[in-house]
Amino acid sequence: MNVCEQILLYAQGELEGADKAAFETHLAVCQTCQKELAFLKRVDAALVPPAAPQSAVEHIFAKTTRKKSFFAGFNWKPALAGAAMLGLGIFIFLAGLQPDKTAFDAREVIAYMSENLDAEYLSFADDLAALESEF
Amino acid sequence: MDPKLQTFTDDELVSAFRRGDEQAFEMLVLRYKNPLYQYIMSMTQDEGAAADLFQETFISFFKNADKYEARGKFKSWLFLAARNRTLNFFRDRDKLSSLDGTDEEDGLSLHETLPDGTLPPLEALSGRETEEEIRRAALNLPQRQREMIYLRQYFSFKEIAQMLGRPLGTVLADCHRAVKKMQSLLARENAQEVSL
Repeated sequence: MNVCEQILLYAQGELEGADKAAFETHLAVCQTCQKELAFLKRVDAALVPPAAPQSAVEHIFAKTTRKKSFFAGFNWKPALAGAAMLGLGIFIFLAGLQPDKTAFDAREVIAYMSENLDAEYLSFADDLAALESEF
Repeated sequence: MDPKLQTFTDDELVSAFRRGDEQAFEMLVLRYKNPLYQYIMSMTQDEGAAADLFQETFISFFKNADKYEARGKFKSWLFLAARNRTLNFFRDRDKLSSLDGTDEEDGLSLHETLPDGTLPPLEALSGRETEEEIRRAALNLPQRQREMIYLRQYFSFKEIAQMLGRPLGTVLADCHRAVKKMQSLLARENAQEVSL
């Protein structure tokens, strides 16, 4: 490799020991290499990385370390209370639409019970009489 | 974020991340966000595509960190992952040939003289080119040379050669061409300004 061709390695800090010393001796007398080195330094200064867009960085974090689950941040207490109230409301509404099959007229109930009691009593009395006659 | 993480090496951060420390992942992102974005941007020259590829590279690492073998080469591994994604992006856009091309496509000779045919490019530079002019010249390089100029900002030539699987001599020759081409572009711009 021609000495001048080592300028890139030298500028990059990749020449060491005797190679570096030899190149520096050459550099002291070679105007082309001096200009080339100055140019490379200006390129390095011009190409300092600009900041990456913050939105892109935030997007990475949002998709990885700060990823939220579907239910994260969901406030359960008001939601549960609301659901309970809604359920109760629906129950009351539906109950209002149905006729109350449990409501009987009191007289009908008494008559029904009396009738059945009489029948049961008579049936029981017959059984008792049959039993007594047997023993 | 734990300030102690700033003192960790890349491999220590990767190990901490694998153990479940997500702040270690964030530290790696913060450490490499600017150079990686600049590298991708220099290759694509498209802000939207660069932002997408940049995000995808880190998100993919987050999901596949176990595939990284800790050998002190995290930066190379990360840049190579970004490069592969960018190549796929170009492949999808039928631009692969431009990245792996011979860089002679613009017809500008590496030893081109100025329009007046007298001075070589380095001699013709005024030395007062602004950083903006230099950046513009870098971005006007053919893709392969441009990549070399930007990779040189973050890696040694030996690392670039290893990363790209090319001989050191080829990498140096590519970079030398890139520097000469930049000088030609800047000299041409200077000459145009003078003639106006």
